Amino acid sequence: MILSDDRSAVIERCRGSHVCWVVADPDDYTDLAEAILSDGVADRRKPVAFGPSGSDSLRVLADIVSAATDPRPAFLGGGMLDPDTMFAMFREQTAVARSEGYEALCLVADMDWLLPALPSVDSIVAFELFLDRVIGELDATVVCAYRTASFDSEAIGGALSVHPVSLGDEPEFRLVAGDVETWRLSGEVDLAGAAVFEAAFRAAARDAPCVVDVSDLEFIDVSGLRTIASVARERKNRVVFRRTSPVLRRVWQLGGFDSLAPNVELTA
Amino acid sequence: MDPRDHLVQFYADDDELAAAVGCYLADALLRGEVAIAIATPSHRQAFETALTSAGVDVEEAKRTDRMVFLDAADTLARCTVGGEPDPIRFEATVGQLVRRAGSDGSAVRAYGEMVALLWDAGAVNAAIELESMWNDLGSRVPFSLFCAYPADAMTDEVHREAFDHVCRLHSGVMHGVSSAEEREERTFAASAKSPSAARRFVATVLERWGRAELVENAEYVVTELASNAVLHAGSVFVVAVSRSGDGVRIAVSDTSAAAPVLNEHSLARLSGRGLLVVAALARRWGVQPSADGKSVWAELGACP
Repeated sequence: MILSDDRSAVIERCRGSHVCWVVADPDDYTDLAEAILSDGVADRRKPVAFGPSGSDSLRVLADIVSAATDPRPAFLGGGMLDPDTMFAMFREQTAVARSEGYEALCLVADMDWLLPALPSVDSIVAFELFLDRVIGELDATVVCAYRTASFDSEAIGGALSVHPVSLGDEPEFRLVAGDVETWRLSGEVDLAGAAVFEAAFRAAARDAPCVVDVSDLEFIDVSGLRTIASVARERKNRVVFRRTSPVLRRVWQLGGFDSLAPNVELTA
Repeated sequence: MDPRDHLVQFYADDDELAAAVGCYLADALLRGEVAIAIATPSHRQAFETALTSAGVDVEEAKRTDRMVFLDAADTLARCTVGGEPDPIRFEATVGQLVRRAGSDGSAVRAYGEMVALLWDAGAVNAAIELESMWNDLGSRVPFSLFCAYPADAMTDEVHREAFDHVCRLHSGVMHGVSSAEEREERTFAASAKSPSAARRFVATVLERWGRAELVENAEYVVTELASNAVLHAGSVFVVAVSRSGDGVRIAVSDTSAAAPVLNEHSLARLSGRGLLVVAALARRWGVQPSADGKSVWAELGACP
């Protein structure tokens, strides 16, 4: 898949981005991971690799990175994926990197490190969604490699939908971090992405208020609107959708969602 | 609404039922048609609320006999002899009611829960009998009929076969046929990615026909119908776009009646809210059962 692209174009897309890399062929991993990390150094970002402890992926990259770690004890020490622990770690590590003369981090993560936690699609989606927010703040390059041999298509579909950049398949919709304390929803939300959309929106709706920019949302079906209304109704926080289209506002009203979830505002 | 449409709706919860039926009845009243609703007391209450929200003066409509509410259990009792639906009593009760309602030339829409009461009581054969009496009446007197069943009533084999039979009962009913000058159709796989492809197909056709202003609404209509077809269909469904008068008709056909995948999940998807949106965006819509399945259609365009 991605190896047919121009290698330098791929690396450029990764720079400063939060990338979901779908690894279909295990032989692809090392080459591209090395290339991304070297580019990171050239770009004044501190190269770091994550992976399962004792794995080949960590071993092979150990020489070219400043740290090759299994983050599981740090992130999952308490048993559950905790966004706050993760943010704290990234912020701390960015500060350390800056004190060492770097500008930011460049991380390539073999997501197999997550597997012992038996992550559900919902928890992967929530984790990556909040990671996206913190990466934006820290100007890091973070490439999350999901191997098709390790994660099923639902989990990979979920991961793709909450990363702003993907190497591999394109998701039907994306929900990612936007400007400060907001989210951006783009693409099309319908039957194909319905389950992932619910997981993603549920995670995003932890914000109070939850603000979502939908200027690049091309379509959302009645079921997607129902998901928004149900989650909003459950959470009772204020939910604002900005830059909505007239047809979306009309269908929201026609479907009776305005009465089901009066705490949702749709603005133009 | 075509004079002889027979619409069947499954509802996951009472809210969805109230929304869908409220819409059906309100539409009738706002067009100056006569609406008859044979329902349980709590449903009648919910429908009155829905009608009021839709801007109907319910008291006025009842007073002038434009909106006729009847109790489902009572009416059912008056149509049966020894618990079995009786054609003579059905004609005397329901038949007379429908004829009287349309005697001044008004179009008549009826919504009924008597059949659902029989399903609930496990009297499946009686339910089928009663359905065929409605059907029979429909072949003699023009009126549109809307029946609703709770989604969980259809989850076992016995009920599925009976429902199959009910669907086939309607194949003899006459439907208005659009005099289409042009028609395009495409077949899609019953895949979650197909509603998106169906949207693109419909948009392309409408743009080519110079009806770009209908695309946004058409995308919603075809998405709802296609999503339902994916969940109920065999391996494929067909989307047909045709001109209908000064509007366009979008029809989605599947082979579901032959081997319906009626489980809680798929029935819940045939949501009242999706139907509500289709009904609100379309100027007319209906369900046309066929020998091997059904076709759900909706017409878009300026109101006639």
